[in-house]
Amino acid sequence: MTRTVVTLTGAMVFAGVAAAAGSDGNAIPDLNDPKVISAGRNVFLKRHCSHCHGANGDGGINLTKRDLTDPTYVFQAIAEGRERGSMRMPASRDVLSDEEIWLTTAYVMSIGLKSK
Amino acid sequence: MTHQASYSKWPIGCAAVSCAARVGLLLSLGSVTAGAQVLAPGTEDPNNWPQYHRSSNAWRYSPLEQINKTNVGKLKVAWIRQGGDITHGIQETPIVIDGVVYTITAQNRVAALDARTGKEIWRFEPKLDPLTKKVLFSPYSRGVTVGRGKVFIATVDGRGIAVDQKTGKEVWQVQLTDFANCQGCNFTSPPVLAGDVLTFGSTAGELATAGKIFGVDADAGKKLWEFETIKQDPKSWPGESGKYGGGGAWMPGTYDAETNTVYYGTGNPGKDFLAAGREGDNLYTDSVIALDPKTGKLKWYRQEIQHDVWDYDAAYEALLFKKDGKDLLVHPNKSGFVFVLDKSDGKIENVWRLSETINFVKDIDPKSGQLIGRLDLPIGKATLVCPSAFGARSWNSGAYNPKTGLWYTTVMELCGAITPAEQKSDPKDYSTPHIGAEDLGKLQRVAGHKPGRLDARDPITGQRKWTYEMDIPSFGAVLATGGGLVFNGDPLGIVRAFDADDGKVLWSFNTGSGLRSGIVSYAVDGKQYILVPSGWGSYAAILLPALFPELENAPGASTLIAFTVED
Repeated sequence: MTRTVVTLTGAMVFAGVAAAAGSDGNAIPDLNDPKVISAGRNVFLKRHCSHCHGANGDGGINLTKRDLTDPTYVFQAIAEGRERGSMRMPASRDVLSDEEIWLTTAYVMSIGLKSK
Repeated sequence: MTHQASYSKWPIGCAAVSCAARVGLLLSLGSVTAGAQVLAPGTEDPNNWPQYHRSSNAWRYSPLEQINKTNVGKLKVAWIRQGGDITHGIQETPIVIDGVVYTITAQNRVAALDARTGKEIWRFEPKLDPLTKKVLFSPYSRGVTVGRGKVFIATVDGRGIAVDQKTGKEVWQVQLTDFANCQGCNFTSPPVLAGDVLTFGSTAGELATAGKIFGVDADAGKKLWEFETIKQDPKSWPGESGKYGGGGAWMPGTYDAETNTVYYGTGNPGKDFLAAGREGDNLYTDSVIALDPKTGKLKWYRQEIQHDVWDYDAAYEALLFKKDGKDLLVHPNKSGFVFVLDKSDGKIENVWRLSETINFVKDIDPKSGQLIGRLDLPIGKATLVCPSAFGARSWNSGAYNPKTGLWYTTVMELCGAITPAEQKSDPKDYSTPHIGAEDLGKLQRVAGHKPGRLDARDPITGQRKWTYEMDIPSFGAVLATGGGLVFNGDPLGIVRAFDADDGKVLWSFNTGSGLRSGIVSYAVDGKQYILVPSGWGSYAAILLPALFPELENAPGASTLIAFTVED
């Protein structure tokens, strides 16, 4: 998936428009759907995101204190990894499928700080 | 133990070759005589920091005494060098030889610096496999190795590289690990130079792979041998469990020229917290192993933690001592126990407790080394384990001062709640820790104990002389000096100099970022320096804020700060 496609589809999905498709041709799930969020938590735990973020997102790198309302940002961070200051999150593209990354995106957004 | 050093206050410097020859001669003779001087163990080549632990007995002791108890309060910054990339901070112990500092920072970027000024002489930046972006143990390194006219680098994509010591130009490189097919097993620590052979220990614990130590011709760059840290024995590893058994030797070993032996500590078995499927003692994980560096053949081993399910690596430093006619090897284990072994055969001389908070066993038999009263970890249920998976101490080494007879080491008193879980083993699942649990365990404080300490102890008996308590545990290595000082730095970046005799803080300085590195000392042009690598990072930096909110916004860095006392 190119960055452009992610940006457009991510924004659409978060607005509740679950009709877009990723580069693998699969539909992107509704990120507000509780079932999607629950499935995302399973991926989060299975893939040991909890190692750094804690099982409920309140670990060393505390997601519950972060503004995670931009699906593009969250997807990209999981897919490509992230380096901020001295911190580094490994990239998960090709380790997780796009579908799994979207599911995880849904869960991560559900536990982050919400927009006011 | 008596080690009355009799060396001049300002020992005369020597060129690298002559120093090496002198040290080699001393060691081969088993003597400490050099001309009219008598050099006590650990005091050879005093102006330099020529290897990871400075001397072959791994004491991290600089005999220099120009900076001492009376003038340490006058320490001033001499120079500062920024390393650039701060990812995972700076974790190295710099090497200093004849006025040149050899330093390595994130992405395996190596540089030679003028030790007087910090000015760069050359730099070498290897092109790394892009897969290093995905793997767990990257892009940090804990140091380089220098010798035979070359600087040797063990890379985070599993290669050995040699560059010319004077120019930084590449001399050879060799791929050692099967990087893409072993969940990114690689090197995060420098190789050991054992004569004309380099030994490289790979990462393996927390990865779906089996650990290896490689022997390489230091001049030609040809691989000579591989030693598998997972024993091929169905009693030790049923079925195919050893295939992903971990056990990497991920910290530098100790080369003992006297016996031509390289001692390595090995890491935990995998999956870390899941016992099912790997019933057996899981040799040679959590062990001290003694190898012949020429052949890679095993001379002896001593497993410290049999069938480990608590992530208690034995990868830490192996200190060598002579006492009462015995040659001893002292080896701290992550579990909070310290093992004292006969260095000739690994026989146990003593086992003592460094940590005051241990529940994973009731005890370890100080004669047989057997674990007594193990704590099992049921799948799917949280069990409080002490020490936590961070250990009673992290990998950052302690230091021994022969004048005081004390070993100075950091200690943690923390527990962690571990919930084992089933997990598939996938050597291409690069970013997922192969640990058999959701995480490394939620950290908990221990009532009645500060979370961290710096202890001064007899290394053989464990008897404690003094302690310095910390609200946040230290993750930095310790330096001991002939000036009667002990240096250590904390995660907030405060470096302290302690009185080696009583632990009184004599000097402190805020470096601006926490320490995960090795402070060293050297002398050039008749002036002693204290060199402090400052830069918070690593998985400790990621995980600790859950228990220590003060560290949530702790800044990273990759800085070398050299201190000296002005004339």
